[in-house]
Amino acid sequence: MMTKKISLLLALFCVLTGYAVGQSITGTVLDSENGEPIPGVSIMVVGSGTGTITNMDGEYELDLGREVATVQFSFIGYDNYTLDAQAGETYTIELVPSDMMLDDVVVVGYGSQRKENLTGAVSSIDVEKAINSRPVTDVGKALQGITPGLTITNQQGGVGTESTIRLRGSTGSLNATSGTSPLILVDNVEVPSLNLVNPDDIAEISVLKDAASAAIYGTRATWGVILITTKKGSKDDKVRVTYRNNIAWNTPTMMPEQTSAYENAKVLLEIAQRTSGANSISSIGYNVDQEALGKIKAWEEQYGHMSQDELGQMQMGRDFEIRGGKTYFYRSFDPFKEFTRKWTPQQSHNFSVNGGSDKSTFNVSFGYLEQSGVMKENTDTYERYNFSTNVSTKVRDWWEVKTGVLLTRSTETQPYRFTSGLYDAWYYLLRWPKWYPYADYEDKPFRSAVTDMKYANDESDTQNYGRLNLGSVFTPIDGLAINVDYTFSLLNKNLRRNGGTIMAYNMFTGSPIENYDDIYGQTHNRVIESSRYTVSNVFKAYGTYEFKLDDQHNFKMMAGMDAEDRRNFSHYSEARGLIDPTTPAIRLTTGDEYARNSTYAYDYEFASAGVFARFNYDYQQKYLVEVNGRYDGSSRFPEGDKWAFFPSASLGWRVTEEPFMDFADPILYDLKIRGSWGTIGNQDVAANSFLSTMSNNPSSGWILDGSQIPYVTSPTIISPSLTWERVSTLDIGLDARLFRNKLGVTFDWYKRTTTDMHSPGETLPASFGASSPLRNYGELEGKGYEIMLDFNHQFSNGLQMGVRAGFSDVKEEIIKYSNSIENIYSNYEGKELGEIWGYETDRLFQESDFVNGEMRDGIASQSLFESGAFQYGPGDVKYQDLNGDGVIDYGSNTLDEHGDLKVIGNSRPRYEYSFGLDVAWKGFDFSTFFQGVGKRDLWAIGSIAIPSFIDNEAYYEHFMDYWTPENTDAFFPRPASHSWVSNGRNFLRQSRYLLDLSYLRCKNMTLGYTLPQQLVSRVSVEQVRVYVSGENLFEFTDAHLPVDPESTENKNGNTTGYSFGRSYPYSRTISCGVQISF
Amino acid sequence: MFAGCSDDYLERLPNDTLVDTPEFWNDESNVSNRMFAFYTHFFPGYESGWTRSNFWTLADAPETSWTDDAAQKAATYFINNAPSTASGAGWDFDYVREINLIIDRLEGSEMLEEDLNHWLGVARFFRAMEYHRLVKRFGDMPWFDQVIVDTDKDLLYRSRDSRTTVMDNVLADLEFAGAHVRVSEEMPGLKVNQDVVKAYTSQIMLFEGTWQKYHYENSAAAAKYLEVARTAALDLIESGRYSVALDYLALTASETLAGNPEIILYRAYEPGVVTHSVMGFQLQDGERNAPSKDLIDSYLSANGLPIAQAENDLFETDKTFSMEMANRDPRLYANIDSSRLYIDGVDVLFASSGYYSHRFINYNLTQHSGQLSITDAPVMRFGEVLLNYIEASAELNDLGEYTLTQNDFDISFNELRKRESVDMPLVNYDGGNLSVDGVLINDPDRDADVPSVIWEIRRERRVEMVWEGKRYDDLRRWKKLEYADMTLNSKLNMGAWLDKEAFVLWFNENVAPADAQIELSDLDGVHLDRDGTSGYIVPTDDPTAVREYKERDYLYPLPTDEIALYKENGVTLEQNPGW
Repeated sequence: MMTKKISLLLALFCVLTGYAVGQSITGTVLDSENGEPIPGVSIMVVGSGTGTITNMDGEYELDLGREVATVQFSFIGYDNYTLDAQAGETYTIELVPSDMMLDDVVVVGYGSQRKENLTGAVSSIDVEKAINSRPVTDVGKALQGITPGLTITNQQGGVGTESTIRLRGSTGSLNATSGTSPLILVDNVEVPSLNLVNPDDIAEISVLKDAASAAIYGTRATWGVILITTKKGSKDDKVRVTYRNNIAWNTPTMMPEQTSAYENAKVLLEIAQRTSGANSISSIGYNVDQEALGKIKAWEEQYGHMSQDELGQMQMGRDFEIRGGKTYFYRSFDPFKEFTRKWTPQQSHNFSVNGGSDKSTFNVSFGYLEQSGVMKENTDTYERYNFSTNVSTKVRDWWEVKTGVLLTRSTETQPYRFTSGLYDAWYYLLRWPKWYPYADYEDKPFRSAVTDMKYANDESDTQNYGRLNLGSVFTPIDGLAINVDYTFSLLNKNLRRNGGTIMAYNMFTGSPIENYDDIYGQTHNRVIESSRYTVSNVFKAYGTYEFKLDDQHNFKMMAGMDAEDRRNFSHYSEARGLIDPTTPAIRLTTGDEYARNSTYAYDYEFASAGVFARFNYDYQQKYLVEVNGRYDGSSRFPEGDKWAFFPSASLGWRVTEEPFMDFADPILYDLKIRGSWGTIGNQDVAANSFLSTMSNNPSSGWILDGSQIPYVTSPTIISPSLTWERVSTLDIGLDARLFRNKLGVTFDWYKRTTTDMHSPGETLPASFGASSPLRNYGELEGKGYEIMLDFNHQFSNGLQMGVRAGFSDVKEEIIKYSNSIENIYSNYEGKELGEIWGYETDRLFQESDFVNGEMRDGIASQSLFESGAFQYGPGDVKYQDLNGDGVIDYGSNTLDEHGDLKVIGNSRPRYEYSFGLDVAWKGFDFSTFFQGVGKRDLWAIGSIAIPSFIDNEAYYEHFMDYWTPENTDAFFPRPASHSWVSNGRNFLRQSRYLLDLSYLRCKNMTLGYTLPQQLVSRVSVEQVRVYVSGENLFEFTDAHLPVDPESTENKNGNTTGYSFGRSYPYSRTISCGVQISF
Repeated sequence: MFAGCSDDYLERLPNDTLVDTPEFWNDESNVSNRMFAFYTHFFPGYESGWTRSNFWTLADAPETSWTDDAAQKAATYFINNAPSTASGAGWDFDYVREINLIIDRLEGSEMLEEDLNHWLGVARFFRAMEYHRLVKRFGDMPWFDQVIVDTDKDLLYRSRDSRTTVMDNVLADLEFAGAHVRVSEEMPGLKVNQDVVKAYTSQIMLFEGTWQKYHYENSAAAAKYLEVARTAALDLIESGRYSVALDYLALTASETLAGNPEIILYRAYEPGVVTHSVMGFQLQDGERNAPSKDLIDSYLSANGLPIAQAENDLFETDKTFSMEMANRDPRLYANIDSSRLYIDGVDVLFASSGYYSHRFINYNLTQHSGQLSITDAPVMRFGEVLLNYIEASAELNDLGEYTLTQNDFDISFNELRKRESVDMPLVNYDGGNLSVDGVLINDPDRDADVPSVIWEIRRERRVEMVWEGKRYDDLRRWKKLEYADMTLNSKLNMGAWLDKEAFVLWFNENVAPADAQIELSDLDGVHLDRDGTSGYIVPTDDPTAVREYKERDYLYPLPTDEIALYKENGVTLEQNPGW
């Protein structure tokens, strides 16, 4: 919380030169321990906004502006000192070095704990730093790199997207549907998505990393907890109004670019020649032959300099022609430049009123966010409104009533998608060569992603989230507090998709302009409405009792229960045959209706409950003990197995409290060694793992009476003996403060073991006729460590600076797993998760490797990977014969026999690190934050990674350094057809083309200025700060492809990876804003 | 105590999935719904969306091009290496398990006996279909007639039962189904009924009978299976419920097959619901696989005689396209566009052999392009039953187990010839020979291994069911994969005769618009079998890129992972020969 003080100081800080005499005080400020003068101490007249700082000798002179005033002395690393000053007096002030940790209170499960007394691995996040003045739309993005061990990834850019949050590894259990996602609690109750929380409402965030700290929340907290506390009112009899805004502009970080039409045509013809000896190519509605190649070049020379506006519509003869029934296109487009916006705006506004008195406090806030997307036609948008209140009042001395309301409404709008989410506009804009026609011909468009967007209706997904909380705190006797809370929440998502008809020349037919058609047919001439609901009830009751014995033995006990149920249900309506395409409505349709949708029509529920207790004891705050126990129940488990007991404990020893450590002071200011161990049950197992169920599949594909007949699926195979998975974490850590509390170090080492993991009992032969039923058999281990450093210093000229850094690493390994074949691509014992098997690339073949078209003797044969017309020749990839048997092969793909394959990399992020710097001086503040990943590999597939992955489509700029007899040390091999094969020919998984996605990125840089208080106080304003801020400003990366280094293999919900690099771009953002409070 | 009182709270049964209880299986409509899971697996028809089926196809289902019917621009090869995984090899028992589970549950069902036997019959029919599929692929298979428990090692690691053991069990299933499945379910042609069972019985047993005869020379087994095939087909013929449709092309290019008298089972397609791309591909894409010269030459002349037969004065030459097309079996015209050649470099819709196939195109439905085609797919038609009947009868005759008569031809073979849109001369069977209009049929191109009568029956089958996905299986069961070998069958990698100069003249005059006249050089990409500008088209001119067959190709390889797994468990899972 030291950093928090800096900003507090900042707010109060201001420089003045004294101008009046007679109402001043003078004096010196000294360190109470060594009597040294302290320069740069901030001295403020409370309530007036005037102030000064001490000079190099610790001396000061301050104009009070009146006879008597209250003056506050503050300096980083010391306790504040308040003085009732009399004008004309001289005061020598001794500031006491602060025991900052003693002041810091960290929110933990069902309570709070003084930081010095923490025995578990808990980190508290400086919310002001992490979120304030950053142009991020959701809290998730702001948490990236903020605490070691927490990994935030975004599967793609785009408006309103969710971040993926993982804590200490990514898998946890092979069976966990969402990996090591921590439980996210806002004011002690889970929220369905961080997107629903207004970043501006957050007061505190704690991350409970080890089992001992998370165990109190039971099974849901298997992978740790992120505890978010929202802002409450304060009891200072003052009503504070705050307004904050942020205006931002986003631009894509990096995108691949198609090569010129001519180069594209040339290389495709080379490939065709190589593949089948053909001297022309045809794909969908376009063709290229030698004549067209010449005409494309001529077109580029003659018209290449003209803008698309000047060129106007497509002209037969000039831009394309039909020869022998085939259509040839010559005109070039740059679809990315033409149809996307370079800068897209985003804005957010937050307004809050906060206050309270002795008995009651309140906080009311309202937030608005608007973001718009990159496409020029029918731009996609995201809008969010947040409203929240927190009110508490003391009804009696022993009874406090609290209530809170959280409302969020967000809407994401985009043009109706005629193609699947996998193959969206990004995919298609980058899919076709530059000659693909995007201009109209005779006032009619060609089929294209742009045409789709331009003439499409909208589709939108609206989320309405409401949450009501009612609670009481009873304090019947001293030291005892009983909390009772009930929370009801309702999330309603409304999907509305307004389809329609797209009329265009069908480029997907042999002769496009003869086929001016309704491209997508009646499947898309429809309206879809779906409402998805999540209703949940959470009840919690717990009591805390604290007492001391002899002022040396401190006891704290907590016991309670919680119960939670949640039901998810949804319905789906689709009606086809729009009467009026401009008024899409279910009532205005004439065609078929559909309601049985396997994705959007569902109903399932879940409940969990538990009783828990925690016992804390410390002796003189030197020896610390905490014991937790939870008896947990979940509806996910069968009768008789619903309940399980999970214990945990942690210990701490504050070494520096021992008398024999006195010598180390003040260098070693504080040192605590701690350790914890705990077990939590994991209930994130597949739904109905214990029941043999049969579902109704709406689409058998078989039509009776004009509609598709549903069918009932085969009963699922279950194992009756299945029970809880157990996740145990051992955590050893230390917290140290050095050099009079200026430098802080936190270190944690942990080992998390998932035992009784739901995994196949043993490999069964295919004759079983199904995958083998799951058993509690496997074991997975995650091992890692985390280091956090912080350093704060204030220079004598008043310049304050803070540096913080974090580093973490984790590896997950399968310890126990039944797999007798041990195929290297399957799970086997000893496997490090994320490993990538492939070949070691030797180099590219050169002409000297061949004699009369035959490979020279002594070169290992690669004929296993030759097929059809593809034979390895000069310019192709030469793999290393690692086992020296003269043949490049994969053996049987098993651990025992894997031929020349080896582990060439790992797709998991390793060595994640971050560092930040904050500087403040005379009202200016500057901060920057870097985040990086030391090692991550990816075997990328799809057309961006593998040249000519699909034949006869776009070739990209970044592939142009390819082998030719003249360019023999090229990076890419001689072009060859890969016809949808992602692991073949020249692009077998191998070291040369393995994508290195390590990076260091400037996540944020902010420069702010707080207006002098004397200036703003004249208009009754407490504080005004203006700032500029940039997000993802620049990065260092080694990837050989033009893809953002944070790219993951897949888009949301898609697994094939063909669209890798061709999805919504990640953005850089610059923004500015103002923050006013009065 | 807390746990006790909250057990109710923690009881959350699924709200939108069923729990497998005995009651479920008492309800006939539930069982009926369960059965629809198997329809598209066993009766894929034209498949759906962009997935293509065994019917006319390009590269998606290479098996259909491993025949002598398709000349390929880029040859597809038989499998190279034994796949490692079971799924890669198609060594799949999922359906066997699912069907056995249904049989198991039905045996405890409280349905009325007649209903129960019907559904048991349907399930056993499916089991027979699945095992036939597996045997066709792998030969010997472990036979399972129960749901295997994961701890039952003996059963799990059962070694392969002999092909005849399995097929005897298949036969028992088919016989039970034939006896108990209802004669007619509502919606004829779209649900499994007794006629569907019988039709497939003739198909499956013909396959197995001929396989036994040609691969194992096991006359006893061959005769047994062929007799079942013959009887099943005869039952349908004698039922009088089906007849040959008037229009041959209507079978593969109709918006609906409902009410077509020849259809025993079909797959319906509906715009916006389920559509296919078979017609779309034939209509819109260049045919890199197109009818081979071998296929075209197998069509008879209109006089019922093979084109190469000396007595055939109706056929003059194949060195002019129009003359090659003149006076042929009308089914040729239903298969290919006989108005002209479609040449690569000139036509968007080129055909690698020059012969442009259009058997699946309904030119009135061209707006349903791409994967939006809506023509119904014939899954099982009476025409095939007739061909199964005559082939089984002839093979039995060959084995000395049956005496073939003119009547056998009249009730089957000649029925197809009499089809209104075909109207080909009827054959006479006399003294072990076939003749038309008094001329003995004697095809000089006949494979010397094959007796003339069987040769002609096979020809009729090939022509009648062209592109219906049967040819590859036919070649395999006759042990004639050599026909699909591009080095052994000279007419396979061969297309029409092309006189380039004449073609350019003709094309410019008749097809090309004045502003888009073609030149001789546009045809440079078309390879001929000889120097000069005239010759037979050679779709693939690279001699190293042709398909050759090996003896092992008759059976598919078993997955190597499975073999290793069995070995670890002390059991030998025999690999197929040659792999």
